[in-house]
Amino acid sequence: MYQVLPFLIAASLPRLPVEMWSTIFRFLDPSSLLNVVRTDDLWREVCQGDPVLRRTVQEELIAERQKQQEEILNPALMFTVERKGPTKLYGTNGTKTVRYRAPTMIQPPPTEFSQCVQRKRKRRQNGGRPEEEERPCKMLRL
Amino acid sequence: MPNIKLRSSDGETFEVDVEIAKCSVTIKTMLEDLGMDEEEEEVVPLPNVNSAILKKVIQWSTYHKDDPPPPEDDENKEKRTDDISSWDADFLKVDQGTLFELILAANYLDIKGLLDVTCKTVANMIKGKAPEEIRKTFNIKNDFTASEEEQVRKENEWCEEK
Repeated sequence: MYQVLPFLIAASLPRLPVEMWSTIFRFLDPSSLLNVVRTDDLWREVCQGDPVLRRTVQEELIAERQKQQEEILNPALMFTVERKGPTKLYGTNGTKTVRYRAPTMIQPPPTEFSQCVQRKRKRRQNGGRPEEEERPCKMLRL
Repeated sequence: MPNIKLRSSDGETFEVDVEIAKCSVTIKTMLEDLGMDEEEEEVVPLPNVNSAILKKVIQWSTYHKDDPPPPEDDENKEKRTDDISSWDADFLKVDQGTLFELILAANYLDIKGLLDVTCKTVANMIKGKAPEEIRKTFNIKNDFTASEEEQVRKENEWCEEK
């Protein structure tokens, strides 16, 4: 039935209110959340409007870009070898596949922002206390 | 045990144990605020819930009536979605429309346990899927009208905001 009448099903689906979607998305891990953002315009707005989800997506985007930049600098990382069949190394039962790359890698990750995120993350690990910054000592001439 | 009558949006009346009905914080508060006497034959109208969904909600609360209250949420804690009991998993083997209506009903009636477990089920439907697969699962039309470049620009914008 789902295959035959997809438009009828879609019309009869109750659209969940925004706050319900954000409740659901809070159960997701960061990489799934990024896929959610890339799925639907409404869902993207849901994630942008929710402080927790927004921060998670930002961090995940930065992490993904850094990973992709590493891949570009070291092309060997882009390939994974999948072996089909028995896990023996005889013969040619290996196929090379290129790992999926999301289309974000046009600009390098903004360095200032990633530092900002790292600082925030560290602060959260410290339990909300602002980190102790290394301040240059003031020399007092007596 | 005293009973209470609940009336669904389509007019069907269900008689349930007060203790079971009190799984719902909405009903519990209503009873406390109104100070309803047990002898009174009051009917609680639930205009947001239809009879099929109310039947499921009652079934769920009857099974879970002795559960301890769920712990408070911690926003920074990683949430698990794989801790759904097998009874709940069976209970939630329904079509998507029913699942969404259950979420709405659980939210309206303020039953945290049911809301959690239904949201987890939906989250599991999304987890580990590529955007195209998610669209197929939820019957979402690809309304990403923006070109790929536009999409990247949006994501960049998002990253650069502080």
